[in-house]
Amino acid sequence: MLAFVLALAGCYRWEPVALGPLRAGQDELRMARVRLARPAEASGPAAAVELIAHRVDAEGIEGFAPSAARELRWRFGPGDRVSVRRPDPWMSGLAVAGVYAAVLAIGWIAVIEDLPGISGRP
Amino acid sequence: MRVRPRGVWLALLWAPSLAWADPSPLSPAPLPTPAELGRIVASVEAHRQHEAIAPRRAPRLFVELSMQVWRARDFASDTMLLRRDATGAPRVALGLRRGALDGLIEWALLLDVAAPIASGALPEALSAALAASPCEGQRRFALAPARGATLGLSAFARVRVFDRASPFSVGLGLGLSAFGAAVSGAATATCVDRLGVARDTRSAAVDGFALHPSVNVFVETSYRFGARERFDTGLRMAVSDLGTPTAGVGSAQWFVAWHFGP
Repeated sequence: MLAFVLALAGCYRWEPVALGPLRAGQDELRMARVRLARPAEASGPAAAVELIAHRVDAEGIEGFAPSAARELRWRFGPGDRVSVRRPDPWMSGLAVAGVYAAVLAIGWIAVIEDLPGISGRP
Repeated sequence: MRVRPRGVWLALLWAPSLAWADPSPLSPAPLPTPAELGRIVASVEAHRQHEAIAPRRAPRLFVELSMQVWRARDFASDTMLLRRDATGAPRVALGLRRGALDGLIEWALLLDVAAPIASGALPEALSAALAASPCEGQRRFALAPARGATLGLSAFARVRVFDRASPFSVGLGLGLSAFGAAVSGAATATCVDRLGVARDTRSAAVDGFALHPSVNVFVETSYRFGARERFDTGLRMAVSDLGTPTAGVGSAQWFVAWHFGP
């Protein structure tokens, strides 16, 4: 729920993921939105896709590609760049702190300053 | 169709390199079944819970910076009537926290100082003199300037909202605080009649220190963020002067804290 709200507010960032630990099963990327990119090289064409990861193993990653509306498998290769979308700690912290600061400001006006019309006083 | 031998040789020479060329890394894959998807979600959730709880096991020190706002309140002592204005002041706190019940609850201890707090004082001598001289109109006061500060010690219990991996928590705290003010100067009271003309002005000097202890109850909500829950921000409300007739909402704080340690 919170992740959804923060994603809507743009409070997320793409973090690069090292291929080695990912292939060794040390990173949990399942159910996360993952960006995979292979730069253009002599060995093959450039490719890029965004997946909601479901299965990760040493050879590749499988997930639902919203752009293609189907499940796809990405076979890992040398030079592949992997990044995962995670909540941005600073932006999400700022967003929540802003809400709290606004509540304090309204509380100050309504309760502590005791202003007519706002604090229930005629 | 005529086949050229040179073309056949060329095709044979190129064929291995075409076979070795890296094709697109993408290929179709089977969609996970609902049961498999359920297992994946459960496993990811278990991992999330484990990651969230890990930093809460060891005790951690934290520094908290906040803006605190107070309601105006009067405190009487033997020598003066001290008034704390409706004002705001920066506050700094040093704390220690530790998780319990597998990360569901967290205990925290806080030592805090807030200053400077705008305040003023009316000497008891002037107050007695005013009681003896009635005013046909309205009294206007210029209080003796005072510099106030609050020192507090409080203990909190915080519970995560909805589940133990949630970044949101609500807390309840109990604390002791002392509001102290150094007063130096003169206070003036002027009687102004209905036409707005000053009729009688009296003043008295006061020099001293006033202290007001208070028992407080806190209600708070906070949000943890950053790697290993390194930071949090929140809002705290204090019910002050517990056990006295003036008990009520006394102040509120908006805070940001930095937790250090493992």
